[in-house]
Amino acid sequence: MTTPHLIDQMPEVARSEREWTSADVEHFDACEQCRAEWQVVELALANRSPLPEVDADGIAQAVLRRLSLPSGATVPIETGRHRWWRPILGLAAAAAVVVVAMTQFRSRTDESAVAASPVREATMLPELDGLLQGEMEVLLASMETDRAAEEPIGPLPRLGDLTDTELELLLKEVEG
Amino acid sequence: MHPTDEEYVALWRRGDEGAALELVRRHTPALGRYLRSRCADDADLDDLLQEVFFRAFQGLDGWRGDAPLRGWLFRIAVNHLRDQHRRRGGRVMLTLLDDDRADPGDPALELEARESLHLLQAGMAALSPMQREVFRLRVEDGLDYAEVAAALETTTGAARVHYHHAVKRLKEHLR
Repeated sequence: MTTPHLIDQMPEVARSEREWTSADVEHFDACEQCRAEWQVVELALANRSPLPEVDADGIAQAVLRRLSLPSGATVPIETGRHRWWRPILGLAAAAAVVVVAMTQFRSRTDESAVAASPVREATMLPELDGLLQGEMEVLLASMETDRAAEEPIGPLPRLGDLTDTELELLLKEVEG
Repeated sequence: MHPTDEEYVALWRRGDEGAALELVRRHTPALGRYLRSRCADDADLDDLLQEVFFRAFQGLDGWRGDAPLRGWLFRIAVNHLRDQHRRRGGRVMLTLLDDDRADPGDPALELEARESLHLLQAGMAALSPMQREVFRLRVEDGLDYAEVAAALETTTGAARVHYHHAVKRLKEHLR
């Protein structure tokens, strides 16, 4: 049987940001389920997209220049990666800036409304946050019980697919 | 000890442009990886990052510190990609192909790795969109539950349940 706290910590351990305790290691030695879950996380992490080569300073400078512009139009980033085509860009940029500025001017109202909109309060499944630590563990453990029954994948409940109402019913059942 | 995001934001609000530079430096790698893994187009990456940070600094007054800044930045990235996706007529964005990754050298190992990867990808495809995105943000992008919740406009409890469910379902696919 897997333990929720191990699954919780797997990403951090896989990234070497923390280590398993000796008790955790003992549990892994004895638990095939946990080892299989650990394999999932390790495999996903090993195959994630590599860090891209981007010029953070160039981006920051471009953002600051852009913030100071009344139009807020996109500013070319001054990086080595871009320098080779700068001469070709010359004339085209002048024309493009006019087009972009006009486009931006038209769409800016909508876009800036999205960007500047205040952070929406998290409202999805708030009942999960209301659970006590013990209740959450019971819920997570119940998911494990479903798996331990070795049922085929199809009938397993898909929490993410449930509507809020269905989830509330499920939680009420779990909480008794 | 480096200043926290909140401290840099406070400095930026007082007009310190260096704080903005530090925030961009701090969050560019993770956001860059996220955007690259979701749109797979290096040519657009600088512009995408510029747009995300521009929107972030424009709307920073709306960030009150009740959600982690990194999660909030990811939310802007998620929304920006969504907008772009809509503007492009709903074309599916590519994810990184396994062919793009390093060759492990040993053909047997390579075959085994590819097989596992294909199983994982099939498992990922079978997850609900929410489970998949929570799992990727948690494992691939290194966000904690609060940051995942902020990025996807859900709760930390829901993020945790989705992540647990995703791990268990993926495990079944890898068997």
